[in-house]
Amino acid sequence: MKTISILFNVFVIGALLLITSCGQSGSNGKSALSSNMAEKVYIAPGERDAQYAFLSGGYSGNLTVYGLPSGRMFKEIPVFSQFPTSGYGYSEETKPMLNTSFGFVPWDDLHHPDISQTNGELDGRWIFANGNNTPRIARISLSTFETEEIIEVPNSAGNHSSSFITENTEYVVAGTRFSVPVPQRDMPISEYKSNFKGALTFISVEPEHGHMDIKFQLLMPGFNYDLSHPGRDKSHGWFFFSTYNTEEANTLLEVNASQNDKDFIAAVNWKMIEAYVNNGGGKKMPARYAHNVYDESTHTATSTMKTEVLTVDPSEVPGAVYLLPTPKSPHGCDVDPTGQYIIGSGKLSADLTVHSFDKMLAAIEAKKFDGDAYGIPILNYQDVLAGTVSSGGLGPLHTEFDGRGNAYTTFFISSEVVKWKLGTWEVIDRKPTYYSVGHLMIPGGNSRKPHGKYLVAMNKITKDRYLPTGPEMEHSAQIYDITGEKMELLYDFPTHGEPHYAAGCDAELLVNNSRKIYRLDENNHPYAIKSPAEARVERTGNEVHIYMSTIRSHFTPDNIEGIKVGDKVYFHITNHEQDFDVPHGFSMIGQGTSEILIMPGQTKTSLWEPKRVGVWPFYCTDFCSALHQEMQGYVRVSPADSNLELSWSLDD
Amino acid sequence: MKKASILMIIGSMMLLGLFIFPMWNIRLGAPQYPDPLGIDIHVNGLKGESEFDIQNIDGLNHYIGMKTLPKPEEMWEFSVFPKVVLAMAALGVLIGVLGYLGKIRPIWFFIWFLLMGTLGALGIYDFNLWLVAYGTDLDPNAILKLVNPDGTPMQYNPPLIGHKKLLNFDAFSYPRMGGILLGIGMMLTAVAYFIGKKSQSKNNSRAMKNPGIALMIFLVSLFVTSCHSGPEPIHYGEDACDFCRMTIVDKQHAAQVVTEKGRVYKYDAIECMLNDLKDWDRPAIKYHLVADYQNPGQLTDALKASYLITDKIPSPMGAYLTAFATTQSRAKIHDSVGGQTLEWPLLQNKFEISN
Repeated sequence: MKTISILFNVFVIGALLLITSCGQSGSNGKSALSSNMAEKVYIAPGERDAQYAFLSGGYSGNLTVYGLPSGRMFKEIPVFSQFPTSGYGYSEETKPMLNTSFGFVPWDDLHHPDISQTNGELDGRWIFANGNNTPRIARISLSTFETEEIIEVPNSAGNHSSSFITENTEYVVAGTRFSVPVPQRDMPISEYKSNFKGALTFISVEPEHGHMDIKFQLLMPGFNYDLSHPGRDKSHGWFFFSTYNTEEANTLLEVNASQNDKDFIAAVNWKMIEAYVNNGGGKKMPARYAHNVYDESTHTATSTMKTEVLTVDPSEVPGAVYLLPTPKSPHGCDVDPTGQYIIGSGKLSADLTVHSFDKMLAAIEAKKFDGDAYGIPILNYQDVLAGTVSSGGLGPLHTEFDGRGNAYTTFFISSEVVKWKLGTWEVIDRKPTYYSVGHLMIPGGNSRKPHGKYLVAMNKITKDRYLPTGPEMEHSAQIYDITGEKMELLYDFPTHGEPHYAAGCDAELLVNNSRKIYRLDENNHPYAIKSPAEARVERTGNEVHIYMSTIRSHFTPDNIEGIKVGDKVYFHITNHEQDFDVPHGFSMIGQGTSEILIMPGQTKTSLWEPKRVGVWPFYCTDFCSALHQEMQGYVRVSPADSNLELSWSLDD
Repeated sequence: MKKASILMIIGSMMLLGLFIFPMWNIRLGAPQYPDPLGIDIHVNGLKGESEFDIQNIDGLNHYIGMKTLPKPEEMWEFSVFPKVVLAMAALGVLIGVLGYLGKIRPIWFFIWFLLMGTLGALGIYDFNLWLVAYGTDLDPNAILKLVNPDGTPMQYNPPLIGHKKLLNFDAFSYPRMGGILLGIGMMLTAVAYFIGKKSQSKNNSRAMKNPGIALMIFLVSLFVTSCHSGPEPIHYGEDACDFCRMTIVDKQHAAQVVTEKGRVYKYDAIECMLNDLKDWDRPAIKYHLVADYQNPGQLTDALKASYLITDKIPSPMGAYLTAFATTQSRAKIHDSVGGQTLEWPLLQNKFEISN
């Protein structure tokens, strides 16, 4: 809840607003009775939702998949966190996914999912998400709904103005919230000013497989780069980052970073920098960052440590970066579907500042600068301003669009969503949220073509919205119907972790590409077996490899002898099913790891280091068939000095 | 005759559709298989309707000890049938061409039709033998050994044509494009015969006998008799009521209706049947049957039965409604327990049903 402390001094105003908004919610309740809200969110048994919503899990480190308008959760996709449900981060194949330059980091803070685009429209191939804590960007397949790739971002800290993608998925962009010494070194914190740098990282996405690679890092002045969005359509080729702490304070930021009346939105002409580095510009710098790739055909991830990154000093590329003064420590930085308007939400303000892309270009053309910061030209506020939305709310954070010329902005302090008109800046409607809304999401809202039917508000405070569950509660989200002139609150639903941003799309974009099984004949896992006849146990020193298969409802083999205390036993299990939704699980008594869940046609490996002599059972953890209870086996563990030969069998 | 010969050629060429399209299809649907598993029967082998259907059907069948579905090399039919089809198509075309050239009389069209009909009937007979063998030749060590109420092992052969319930699966068996083309093609050759015969009789003004009609009748009757359309025994303790879904156990209160199309609906109580008839939008009903209280397990014509409503004899779904085959047997019980006696028309009124 990064904004809470900053906003504490305006709490009293917020409380006053809450009191006045009580009257509003009363009248709202009345209109609810006369409408058919229940029908609008009711999905009858067996029917399916119209849209997908991918909500970030925040400190859960994972991504959750929901249906709209029902608010039903379909899946939790493990991304940055170990996940016992599937064995992600526990199985030998997926452990490398969580490798970093700091070693194995089994957790992160997942913030801003964004779906891949072609020509500024969602194409439904991948969804990207950022790890905020140990800077990382993940790519998740939208055909398997599994994490396929994670790249660490060096020279970054608090990877927050991430992971937003350009309109042809050329780049996924990751900006640092905390500036740090670049390269990292032992130095006094008080020498922050002018010594720390803020890295804005442009990660190229290979068009066919989506593989990520850091193209360049722009080393900006030591501000805090809070949020960002790509230009689109006419402003395609630019990227916009909101900043705060242009004071470059290094302590008590809630006061010291709130002194300047205006901070900046940094406008970055990435096409110009791309051309610059393509022509040999930039400086290679030693760095250490992990690049982890999961291969669907081997069902295995590999982690490589990279040692170099290309950095660009903005002052060396004149004309590539400009600073747009924006009042009151802007947070959200959103671009409308036409690419003309850049909306800065001064989070300590009541008003929204809207910059004009055309006016920005004109000002640059006319060279009307108001000084510079570390060599980066600052434009005149009045020269780039398109308009101001006098919202009447307090604490604006984020804005999304419906594709019909309207914008919707969340207000954290006054707990509401405000609908306003692009161009005229007039407020059309406002509806309370419950409570203290952070992000909002309209499916496709971050593209040229939003699918403006529903709006999901993700709230930071739950309080009394559900049955109480002790001090800790899941966060709450709300769905609004935005097809009419006025927004209509339809439904509350609890979410998992702390959803920051979310991404959504029409169901048709994904349903037909969703995989049902993995093909066994395309399984290239080195320890896969294609037939139970290949099942075997092999020993090399104290390493034992068990090649095992499963089919309803038995393991092959299911009796194994000749294992010794002190062995490292690898169960390589291939699920021979080729039928939709028939996984098998595996778990071993006393095993210091999680179970694994193996999808049809897949191979996964579970490591067991037996510590005690005995005969130890294992079993299938997924109720796979009527004979699931029979799906079990035994491993005999002999003393370390035993001479018992390896043997294995099934029904001999 | 030329027109007839062209029909003959087209008709026999349609057999070749069997090499492109499946001849027959068996589909298995169950609650947990909303997308049913399907087997397409081609003239030269079995194919899953979706890629892994055969493997998945075999996987399920291992529970009840059925053999795996045969590979083409495991059944002689899959190598012989294509040759027969090819030979018959070639023969038909040859006959048609000869007819066109005026070398032979239309009776040859009919001979071809007769031969093909015989071969087809043999093929269906052989197919049925395989279905029965497949569904009954079970592994004695099967995981699930299910028996009928009379102790005989349960059989799992899918129907030759139509629908059959196999445990939790609904099996549907119907011809596919290849089989349909075969049927149409054969019809065309029969038509070719008639047209050819007619034009010839015009030319020769010679009366003719018509063996073709007899054959048509024979074939049609073959299809009709293969459709079963009478009452079916109720498997007490197993069959579920088609109205309330509860298992049918009470042999003195069960009921059944059979539609004109031969579809059977079974009920655990007479009141369930009556309630089901209330909004009946299915095919018209041929038989209404109710259990005779005096002869447990015996069904009797519901329209002629005598009914008694008495709180001394509870019925499964709480209507206290019992049926008797005769008024005498009802009178005997009525004397001892009392209650209201009524006949079918009154019962119809009471349950507001019209059929």
